[in-house]
Amino acid sequence: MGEGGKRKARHEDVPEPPSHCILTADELGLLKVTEIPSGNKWEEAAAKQRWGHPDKQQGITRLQVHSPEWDPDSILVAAARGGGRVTLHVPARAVAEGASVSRAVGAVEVGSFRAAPPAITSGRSDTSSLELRGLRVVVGGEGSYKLRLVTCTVGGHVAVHGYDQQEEGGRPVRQGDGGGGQDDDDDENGATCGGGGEGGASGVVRTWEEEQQRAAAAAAGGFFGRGRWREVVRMQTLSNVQDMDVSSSGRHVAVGGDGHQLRVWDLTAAASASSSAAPEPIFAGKGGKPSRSGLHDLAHVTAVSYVPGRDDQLVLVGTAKHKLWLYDMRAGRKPQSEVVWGEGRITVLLPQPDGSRVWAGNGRGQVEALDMRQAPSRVSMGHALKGSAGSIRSLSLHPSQPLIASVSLDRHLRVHSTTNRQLLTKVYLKQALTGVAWLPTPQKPNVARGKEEIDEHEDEDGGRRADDRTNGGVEAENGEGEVAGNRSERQPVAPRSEEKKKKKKKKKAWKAESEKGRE
Amino acid sequence: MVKAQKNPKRHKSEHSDDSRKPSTSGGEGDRGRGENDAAAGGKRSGGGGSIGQQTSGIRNKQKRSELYNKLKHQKEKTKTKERRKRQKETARAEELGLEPAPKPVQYTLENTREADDTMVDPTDEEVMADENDDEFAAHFANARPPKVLITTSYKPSKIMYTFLSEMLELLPCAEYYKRNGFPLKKIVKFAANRGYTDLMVFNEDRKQINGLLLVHLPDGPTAHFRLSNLKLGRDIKGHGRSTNHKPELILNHFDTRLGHRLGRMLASLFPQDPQFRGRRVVTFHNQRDFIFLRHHRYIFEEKETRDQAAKDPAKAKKKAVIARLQELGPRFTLKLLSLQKGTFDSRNGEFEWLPKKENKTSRRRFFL
Repeated sequence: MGEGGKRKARHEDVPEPPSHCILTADELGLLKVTEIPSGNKWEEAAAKQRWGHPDKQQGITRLQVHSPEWDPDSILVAAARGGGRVTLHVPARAVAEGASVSRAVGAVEVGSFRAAPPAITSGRSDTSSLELRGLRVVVGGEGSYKLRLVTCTVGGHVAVHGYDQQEEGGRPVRQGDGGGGQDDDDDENGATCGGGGEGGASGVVRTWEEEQQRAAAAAAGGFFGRGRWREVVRMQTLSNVQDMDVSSSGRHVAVGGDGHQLRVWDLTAAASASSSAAPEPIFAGKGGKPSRSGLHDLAHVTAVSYVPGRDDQLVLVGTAKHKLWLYDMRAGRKPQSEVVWGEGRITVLLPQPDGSRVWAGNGRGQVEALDMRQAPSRVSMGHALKGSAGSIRSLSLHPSQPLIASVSLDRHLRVHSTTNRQLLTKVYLKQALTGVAWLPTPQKPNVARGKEEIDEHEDEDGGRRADDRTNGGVEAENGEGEVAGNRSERQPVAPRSEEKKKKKKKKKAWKAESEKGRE
Repeated sequence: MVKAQKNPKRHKSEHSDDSRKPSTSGGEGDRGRGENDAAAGGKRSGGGGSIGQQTSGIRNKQKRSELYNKLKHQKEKTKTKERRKRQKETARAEELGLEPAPKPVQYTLENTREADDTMVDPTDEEVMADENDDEFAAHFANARPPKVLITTSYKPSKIMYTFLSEMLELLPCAEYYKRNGFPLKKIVKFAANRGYTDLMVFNEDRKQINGLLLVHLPDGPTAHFRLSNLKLGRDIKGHGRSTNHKPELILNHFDTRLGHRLGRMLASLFPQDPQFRGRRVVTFHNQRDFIFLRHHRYIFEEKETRDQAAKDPAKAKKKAVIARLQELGPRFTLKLLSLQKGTFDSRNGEFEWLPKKENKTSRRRFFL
């Protein structure tokens, strides 16, 4: 896996960057990157990278990817693992001097923390209540921490960990896939030299790569590479939690579980309150209407989601009895509208960022969208995505394109188009998958001539935001200005840009040849 | 021929009447068209499908059967002619000492099966890692001997009792408990508490045993099967009586990931240390997503075969070791209806596999 730096690409044509990258997490703790080759070749989608070693104890239950500007250079992957630990990864890039290979070839674990309550000393340790059921990334908000991770265990322990980038944590940045990396201890794996420390490595070449990669990672994952995660808030909520969601501001956390209806707490209040007093929920939902025979469903909430845009008002809840309840926190404790959908428990709720639709997946493999435009008066389901044979474990929407990735227990990753419901690709990933997220695609590296471009751009943008579509320093201002526009520009659609690419390729080829000639 | 002259005239006049009437025999327009097509199709040697498909347009039974027999006869003639040719060529090749032409490959449903990307590669590291730690790992590591609890649906009949007596002979570590109206979720809990490893619930409907629910405990997967073609041991001609020896197990063709998992689930019903002296074998044979259960006693024997065609009398007698089988207990067919993660929770559980219409894309696609 660590061969990126070894092979200095001397070939003329550089592999095109993939048009899409999807990260999946599974029950064995493996993180796999599936790439769709450039040009949107959905038929050739395949898993290209695998981070981590198969180990059931490290099985991932929740996955979140944080990439604020959709930049392939600043990606933080947070994975909630068994035993209540959260590990954070940054995809490593083997960027050697003037090398053309800037693909991510592995992941570096930049930190981990324990999100479970401190262990009470007792002979019997019931670790099932330490499993994490909720993991969310909160950006901004009040407080000194600009980036926070909110986690919730089955036992109801909600913890907020903030990222403190000033403090040099003193933890060496380790390769996640090199072996080890399971403990929080710093003593092992401090070796930079001393060959085969990572197990099964072969001598000198490996360590040189290691150092290279580590340096690269520290440089690339710079923002996340140094610094520590500190626990900011800790709160005890319900027992037997099934799902959790955090409002966009990071103030409220909504929790639901087996035997409990929806409850919403205020995190800031908990932070300031004394640790002895159990905080009261600011909202406690009640169940829906009874059925025609007068029976109420037992309270069993399996999925919780805030509706973006109306965060302090609307919360959508999915139950084990195939019902979706929309709560309006200002209007009352009972759900404002109820949708009975499908058969089987609702496992995932994923809202679209504009709040117009909420995608729901259930235990029978059905995925449909709940239309929220006239909520709470009229809500309807529609837009079914077909094909999954197993329970849907996770859904992920592409931030700019109409694509939705779904991952299920039948060990497949599926990508559908949200506009025409077509199944674009289906990839077999061998394990029961539990999490999925889209990754920003690595940009096309610029060889030789491009190196100068990079230097220029770095001076101006402070980052490799401008991609190879811009021509040298002239259009650098363009790249600077368009932050949002950049996302859509990345897709190779416009013929003009393809021509430019061809021109560039020729130039590169010529350059490379001339270099070769010189050498 | 008179027919050929008739058709072009009649075709147009009959057309309007035909279109309004419901389908009756004697629609001449149809007949004309159908016959023309069929004749053309026959010459094209089956280009229009099977002979039945080609002639099915003809409404008149007599005409249809005439054409059908004609086409069938033609087909058989060409077939025998080709076979004779092939046989002659192979005989000639053998005489000359040359290699005969290779036999054409027979296309069966099994070898034209749609390629499945979940086929298990036995050396796959990830699959091995997964199976080292799944719900059945303890059984295969000999750390957890099987203990099966058998029960039935509500109010079983006598047929169920006779079947259960045979199942208890088949499974060496099985015990039977009466259902007594307990809901299934409670039975799962009771069984898990008492240390059972598996729960089998047979379902009966109108004197027909038609379903099997197999729950691996304490929180293992739940498989729901449809049971069909049941034949009790006592109804099999020449059957034998089972003994108490632990049987050997044969699991055939559980190729895909789902099949592998199911194979492990079925294997965890039986103890890991078979007693070969008992010469008892239980076979789960998967073909086309149907799992056939057979229970045999085998014996290896030496048998002399006489090669009549051989010219040398000394070489005529050949000794070969063959295995003879005697069928013991019941035989039935299972088809997987759903595989659920976790114990039984029919509506609200999470399913690992469900048969979906959109996945049944062709006749050649199988999931196990």
